[in-house]
Amino acid sequence: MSVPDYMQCAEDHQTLLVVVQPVGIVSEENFFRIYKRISSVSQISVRDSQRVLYIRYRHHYPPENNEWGDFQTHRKVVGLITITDCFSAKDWPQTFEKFHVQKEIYGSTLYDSRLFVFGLQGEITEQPRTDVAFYPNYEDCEAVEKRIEDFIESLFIVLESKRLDRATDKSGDKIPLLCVPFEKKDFVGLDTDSSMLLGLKRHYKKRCQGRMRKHVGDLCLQAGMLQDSLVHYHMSVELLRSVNDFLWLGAALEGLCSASVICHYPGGTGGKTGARRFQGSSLPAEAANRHRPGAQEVLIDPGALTTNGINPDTSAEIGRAKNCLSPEDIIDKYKEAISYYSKYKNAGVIELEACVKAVRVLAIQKRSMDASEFLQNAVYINLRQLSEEEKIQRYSILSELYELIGFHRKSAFFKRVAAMQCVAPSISEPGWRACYKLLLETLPGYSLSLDPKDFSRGTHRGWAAVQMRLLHELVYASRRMGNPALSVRHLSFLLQTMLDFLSDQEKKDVTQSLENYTCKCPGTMELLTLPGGPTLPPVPFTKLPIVRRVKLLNLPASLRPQKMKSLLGQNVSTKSPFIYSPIIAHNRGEERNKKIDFQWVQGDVCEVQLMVYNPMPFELRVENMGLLTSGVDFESLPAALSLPAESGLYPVTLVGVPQTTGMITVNGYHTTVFGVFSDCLLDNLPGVKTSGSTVEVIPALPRLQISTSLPRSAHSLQPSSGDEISTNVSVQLYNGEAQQLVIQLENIGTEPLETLEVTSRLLTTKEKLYGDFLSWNLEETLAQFPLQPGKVATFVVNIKVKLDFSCQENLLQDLSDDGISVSGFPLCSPFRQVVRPRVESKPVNAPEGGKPGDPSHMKTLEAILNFKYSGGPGHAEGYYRNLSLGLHVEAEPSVFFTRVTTLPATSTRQCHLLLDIFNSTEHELTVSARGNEELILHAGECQRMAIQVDKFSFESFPESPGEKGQLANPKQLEEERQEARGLEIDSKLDVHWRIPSLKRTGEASVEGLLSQLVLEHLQLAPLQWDVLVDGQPCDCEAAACRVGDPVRLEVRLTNQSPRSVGPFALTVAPFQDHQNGVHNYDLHDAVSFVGSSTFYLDAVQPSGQSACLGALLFLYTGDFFLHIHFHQDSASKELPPSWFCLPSVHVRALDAQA
Amino acid sequence: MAVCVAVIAKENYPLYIRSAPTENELKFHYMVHTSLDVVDEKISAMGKALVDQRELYLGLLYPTEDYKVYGYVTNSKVKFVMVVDSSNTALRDNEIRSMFRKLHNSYTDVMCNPFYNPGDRIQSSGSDAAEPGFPVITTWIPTCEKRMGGRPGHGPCPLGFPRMPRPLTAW
Repeated sequence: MSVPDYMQCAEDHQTLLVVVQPVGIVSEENFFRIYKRISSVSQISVRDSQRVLYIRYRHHYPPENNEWGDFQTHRKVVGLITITDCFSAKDWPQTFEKFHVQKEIYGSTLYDSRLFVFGLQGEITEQPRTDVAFYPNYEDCEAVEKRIEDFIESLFIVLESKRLDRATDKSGDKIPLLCVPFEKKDFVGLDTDSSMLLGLKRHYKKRCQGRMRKHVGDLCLQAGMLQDSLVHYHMSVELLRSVNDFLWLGAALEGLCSASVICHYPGGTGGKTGARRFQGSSLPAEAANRHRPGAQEVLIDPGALTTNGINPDTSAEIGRAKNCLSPEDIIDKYKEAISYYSKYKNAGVIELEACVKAVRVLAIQKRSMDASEFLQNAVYINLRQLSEEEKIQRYSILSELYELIGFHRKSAFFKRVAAMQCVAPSISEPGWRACYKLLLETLPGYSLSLDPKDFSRGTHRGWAAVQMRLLHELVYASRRMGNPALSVRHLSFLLQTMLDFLSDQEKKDVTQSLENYTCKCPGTMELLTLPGGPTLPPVPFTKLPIVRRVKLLNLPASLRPQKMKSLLGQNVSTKSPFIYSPIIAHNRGEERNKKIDFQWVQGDVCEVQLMVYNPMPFELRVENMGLLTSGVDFESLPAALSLPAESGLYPVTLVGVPQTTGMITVNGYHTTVFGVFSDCLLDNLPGVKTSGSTVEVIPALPRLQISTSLPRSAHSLQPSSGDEISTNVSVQLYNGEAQQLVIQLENIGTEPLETLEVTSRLLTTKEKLYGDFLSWNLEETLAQFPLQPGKVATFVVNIKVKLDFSCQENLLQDLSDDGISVSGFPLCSPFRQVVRPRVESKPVNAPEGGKPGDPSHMKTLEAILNFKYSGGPGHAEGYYRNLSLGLHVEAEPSVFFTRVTTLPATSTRQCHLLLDIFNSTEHELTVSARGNEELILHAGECQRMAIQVDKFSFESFPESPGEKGQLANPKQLEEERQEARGLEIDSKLDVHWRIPSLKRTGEASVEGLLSQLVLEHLQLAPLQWDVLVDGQPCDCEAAACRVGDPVRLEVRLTNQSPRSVGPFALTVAPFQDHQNGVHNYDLHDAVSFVGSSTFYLDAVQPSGQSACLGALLFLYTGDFFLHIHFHQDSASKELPPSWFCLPSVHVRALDAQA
Repeated sequence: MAVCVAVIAKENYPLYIRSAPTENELKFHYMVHTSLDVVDEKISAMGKALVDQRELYLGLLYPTEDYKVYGYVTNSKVKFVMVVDSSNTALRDNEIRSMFRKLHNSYTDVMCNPFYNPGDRIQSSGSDAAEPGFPVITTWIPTCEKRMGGRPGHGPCPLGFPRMPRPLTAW
């Protein structure tokens, strides 16, 4: 016997072996249809008894195994069922002949046989025959099962008769010696009757008895008499042990074990092995049918066995409880049996099968360690030179058994060996499919899953070297199978999951072969279905390149949509009546985890930045890299990139255009690397930092592009400016100069531009700026709206630079010695002294000081023009865009007013303003003021300009207190007032400069340099004094009068101050000026007063008027001056002295005749 | 002397595996891998025993034609597997035990290293492949498995971590 049946299990010992075979030409399909029906009848309760017969069907059975039938009767073919096709009566004899030939093969052991003929009709079928059954076709054969049952009953009758025959035989004289095939020659010629010594003869007889007992035990077991068989086996063991008949002792022990196993484990030991397909001989249905109600009954009521009265003596010999082995004993006895078998080389198959049976028992007992010992033993049983197929079978079954005892790794190991055996070089036609299939089955044993998701969590935990080998083998096997898609998938998987374990050279090799494969069959993201049914999930290359960070980028500042503030009410959650609740805030925070608080705009290119790096030791070419999104139609614009070897983090920007509005979620990205398409979802990527992946897409907005008449500047505004400026323009202007900035507004988007708002913001500067820096008129531009796509509108902004024209200190210092000084005019009043700015004599080379016109004097002004615009559907949703234009103005100094002083004019209503003007440019410059001549200044020259100005009555206009006065503090109010005064003065003066060589003009403003003192001088006092001589107002010109005539003198006071003043006392003192600094007041002889020289004025109400009259009489001719002064009384002290500035009256007394 | 030494994590993946005949390393990988079945079985059988009374040494896991595979399990379920040549009869149970004890000490040293991340592969600095047939694990210097930026790192710790004391000498 050479062909082991690895499917055997202990309970097979109680079965009857029936071979079902086709004769002639029977299609496989038909045969197995019938075979299946036949084998469904696998157990039969015997009539009139509680015994159960078990049948084991085989469609193939090597006849040499049959020869071992005496050794273990379940190996004996006792029944033969032949299935044949026969369509005509004339074929019938031939067919029947074939049946007989078939019978011959197992003839020696057959109890009975049947022939099932399909297709034959006619008179032959009429013959009543027990061994032949006719069926018209394969469909029409309901009676098959019944036939089989009858057949089995007939088998049982033979079996039972044999059993009884053998069992009762023992008292007879001669018991034949049962032999296994290889023993036969040993006993040839052995004369059992005569030529033996007595001892030998007794020995021989015991041997015969022992073997026969064992045989009877087998028959009892098959006949369903478990208890009896146990008894027989025990007796057999006793007998055979005494004669050292080891092979049969082993068989007896094994029989004992089998019977005990049947007794202990009625569920069966080989139950769930669905692996019978390797044998190809039995069907899974057979295994499923192994349930043994009979055996159960035996356990419950073993006494029932003897009710038949068969062999009553056995039960008396050995107690029932002793008969059945304990589970531990079963294993011991198996061990013993196997050790006996191992003494015989020819019994290798028996030993092997015993091992397998023992392992199955141990698996049920959950004694894996012991089972592994048996298996270890089975591995080393050397039957003979095995064919490759047998090797595969053996390795497979070892694998299955290891699996059975829970040794998954060992199982995988043997399965892999089996797979390798399928494609051994010695095999002419390697079975790559089988190899691949077996390799797939090893995956769980190596804790390898072909789903890359199982690897993406955390680091790789497994036997990398072993797993890599397996994957390589899968790749190779699938390629040889002719399934390149599988190879690509496996190779991708290898590269993706084992990247950390591949050496640089291996990385190169793997990618090289992957590229070779993908030339023919590009890798896809589809599920691949394997022949066996399982599917291979796609392998996205999330590590080629590795993505570390995904960041959705906001639109550039100029395109960023902003929500109208007026719609504030919408932002407040309407769900809650509370303005603020911590619960709501919490919810918002959660939402924010995912949602990003900026918006993308439909139709605009949106960007996502990935930080990637290449883990490969060579350049990695990533093609067709784009975004995977959901929620919104998104037109992804794929990119191709090439990453240098082992690159560091490398930013990659993926772009796309949302086509509709709503919430868009960036789910991942897709790539093509080495010809493999990958869809990498962010959720599956470990260690990716993302700041949210959902963003709102709002409806389309127009896009505005601006171009200006001024050159662009590379100069960016101060970093702290806050706004993001899209364009910067710069211009250089002289102080006081104005320029127009023409801005072209072009709608480069696809939506009409409907609204535009312009605001400006001056960046904080230390410089004090006078007047409007930027001014514009938007109406003209808005008249061109709505601006259709592609259209251009013009917008004009006026830039006017008016910085402080006052002189810096260092400049003053330079000029302090040049002799220009203001000396007191003879007529100046005591409080009209010019306060000369006394500069301490600093060293000329002051650190910050440079020459006039030095660049350090250049001042920079920066402003931002904001264009808020909107239109299209985005406007309807309340969004706008903001475009900023940075304006950089370099203001060069033009002229300076180094000093400003006033001189009283001849009239008290006027005065002279003296401006020392310094030309700080490098060009010749002319300065003009209203009504004055042009003053030419050479570069760096300083000249004085005198302008006669009317005094101002400020009080009349700038008093806009009312609402303001209460809010602003007095200081601010004062400043404001001063500013307004400056403006007023400036507009009156209207000082211009012109640089003829450059053809540039500008204004010059004195606003900043008017000190309080100067202002006071320029101001009309609120108390306005008028002196009338002879009814003529006398201010600057001399009034003429005749000597001897009384001259009427009227002093009139107009009160413009807000309160009442007075009363005042004035004294008129005439004097003569000798023009040499001497004033002669002693004029009592020359001038005489008519009445009093002192006038009294009553209190004057606000805006009231009062006058007092007097008269003078000049006695001599001459020029006389009248000095009117106040009496020093308390009332006048409350008021500022400048209010009491009375004109000095010049009277020329002429000769009467003249 | 052993031909292969392996340290296997609680979750049954190798932390360290080194064999002396480097040319057929994979064979030992398979051998150690399959031996885990037996280790698992032995541990589960031992499970009921009290922890402090438990014998760490598992004894012979299984013999093959050329080699014998021995096992050892720490209280934290880290397994040590050693493959020795069957022909080497000088190695008795006691020698095997003491080898395992030394291995355990070395492993403890590795664990004491603050730069070692439990669960990461262990890198041995011992040039054990230099002498054929002699897996000398002299010192165990773990490296930073992951460098900054997540790149897998190789080579010794950049901080120049001092060599671990108590080197295992020849056995």
